[in-house]
Amino acid sequence: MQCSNVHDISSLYLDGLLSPEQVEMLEQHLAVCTECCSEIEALRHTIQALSALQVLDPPTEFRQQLMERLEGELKRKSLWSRIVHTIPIYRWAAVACVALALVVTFQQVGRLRTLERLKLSPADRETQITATGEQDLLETMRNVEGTNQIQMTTSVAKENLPDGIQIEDSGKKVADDSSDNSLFIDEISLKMKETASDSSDNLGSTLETLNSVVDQKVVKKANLSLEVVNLEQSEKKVMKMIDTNGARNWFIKNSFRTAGRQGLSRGDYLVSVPQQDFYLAVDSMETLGVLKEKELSLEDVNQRYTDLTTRILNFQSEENKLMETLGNPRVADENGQLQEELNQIRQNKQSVVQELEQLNNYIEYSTIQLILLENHFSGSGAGN
Amino acid sequence: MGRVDENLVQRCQEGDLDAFDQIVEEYSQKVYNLTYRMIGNPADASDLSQEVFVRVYRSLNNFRGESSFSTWLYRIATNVCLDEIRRRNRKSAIPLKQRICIDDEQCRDIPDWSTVPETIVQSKELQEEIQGMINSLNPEYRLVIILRDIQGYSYAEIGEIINCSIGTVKSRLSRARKSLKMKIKEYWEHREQMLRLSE
Repeated sequence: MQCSNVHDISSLYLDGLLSPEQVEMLEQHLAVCTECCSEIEALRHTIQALSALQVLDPPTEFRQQLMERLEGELKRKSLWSRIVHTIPIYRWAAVACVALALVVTFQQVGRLRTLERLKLSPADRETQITATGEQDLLETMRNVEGTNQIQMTTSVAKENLPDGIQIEDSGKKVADDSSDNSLFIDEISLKMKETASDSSDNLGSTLETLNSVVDQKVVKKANLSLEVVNLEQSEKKVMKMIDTNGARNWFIKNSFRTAGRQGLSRGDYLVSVPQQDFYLAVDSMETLGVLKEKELSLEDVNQRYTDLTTRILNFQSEENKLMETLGNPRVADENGQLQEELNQIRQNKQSVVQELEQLNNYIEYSTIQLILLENHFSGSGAGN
Repeated sequence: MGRVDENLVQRCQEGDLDAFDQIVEEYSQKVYNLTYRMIGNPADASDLSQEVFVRVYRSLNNFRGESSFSTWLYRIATNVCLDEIRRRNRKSAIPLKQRICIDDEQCRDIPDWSTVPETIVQSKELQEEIQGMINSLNPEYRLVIILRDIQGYSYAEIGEIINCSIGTVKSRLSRARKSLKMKIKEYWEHREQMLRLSE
């Protein structure tokens, strides 16, 4: 065995990972080579010195601090119970958020419409709603009659406000649809202001949580299956609907028709619409035939969105640091390696940026998978 | 994964914070030692360890038992450490002390590193120096040497934790140990020379 071979396998030898044959050959060499013997001893000492390093205990307050941090996170997750049960002043806000959650969760058409569509009379363009509970708010929502644009101002009875807290403004807004005067809740943003310095941490945390809840990142999807009497005619209506709303960025991503038995056909259409038009599009498409199947899904992508954003910021920070280092004449001899590292970071960042853009696209544009099934005996004739 | 881990993880996934506290109790020392050895100072090690457990907590629902829980947890811990090291100014690593130029006469009779007594190998002074030497290694080498020689994981476990083959672990560890051996040798010779000069 050569000395160079010994250097290659000395680490494995000390870990007892060589075969008996290799061990025998190595030990024969060590018996006659003092230099290799000394090298192996030095390596053994190095490993001993490492394994003798003291095992340290984390700081005494480590667990307590960590659990407090995690409890804070957990509290945010149980927002609803906190708002509804412990802070009645914001009950109306919780109800509004619950209403939004119901809108996307419930699949029953009637319930969806009740919650999504607010119809206001012209006189109610600026309607002040005082709601102290879920029933109040839902009742108010049901009773208001429509127009094509509203500004909903929500106020809370003064006597319910805790000292030092003002609700500066709230509530908006709804996208208009001039074609049928229907209104859709797009988002409810709450702007609250703490005017007293002694407000409790509890409340500060609630405000923060509330803000995070109303700024949800969600991906909306729908699957609709309809029976139609004449596929060709119904398909024309679909195309016309998409064309009419082309200015609102409705478009068909994919479509195909397949022939079935007895000359009956099926059409598949993948429609993309801006998220604020999602329910309008679903409702409009439902009128094209007899509804056989309807599935609405909502995917919460907040975590993913935050993760991607954080990763991009981290890459950016690394990139900035490397750029600074590159400008330093003291490291001129390492510029090649630094440049390589910088390129790698930029590539990684670009890939995450693309992922975020794609996710944003999914958030901004909802997809509706529409299936039209031809059935000459379909009883409804709705839209046909 | 052990039975205790399985039950604890399941309870954590169901939102039981007390169960997570038990996980923290079980793993905090190892995680803290890993972060400390990777970063080299206690305050940052504590912050990073907290970050590790927060990430573990947030990702619990993604854990599907494809690897053991401890492997999964250490994988998160190593990623947190590597991310942090990459973020830091790469020029902050502790530089190796330059060997003092002395004549051949003074070089003679300096005890070789391979022959020093074990008590010196395990001395506190040397341990502090070694931490500095670990920090001067490339982060990938640093990681394998900490996992193997300080924390005692097998090659296969290290491969799982850092997501690479056993062959890669072997070569990285071999290079890391040799690099560290050279650094210790240089330090040792420097130290002995300084002692002689001061006599």
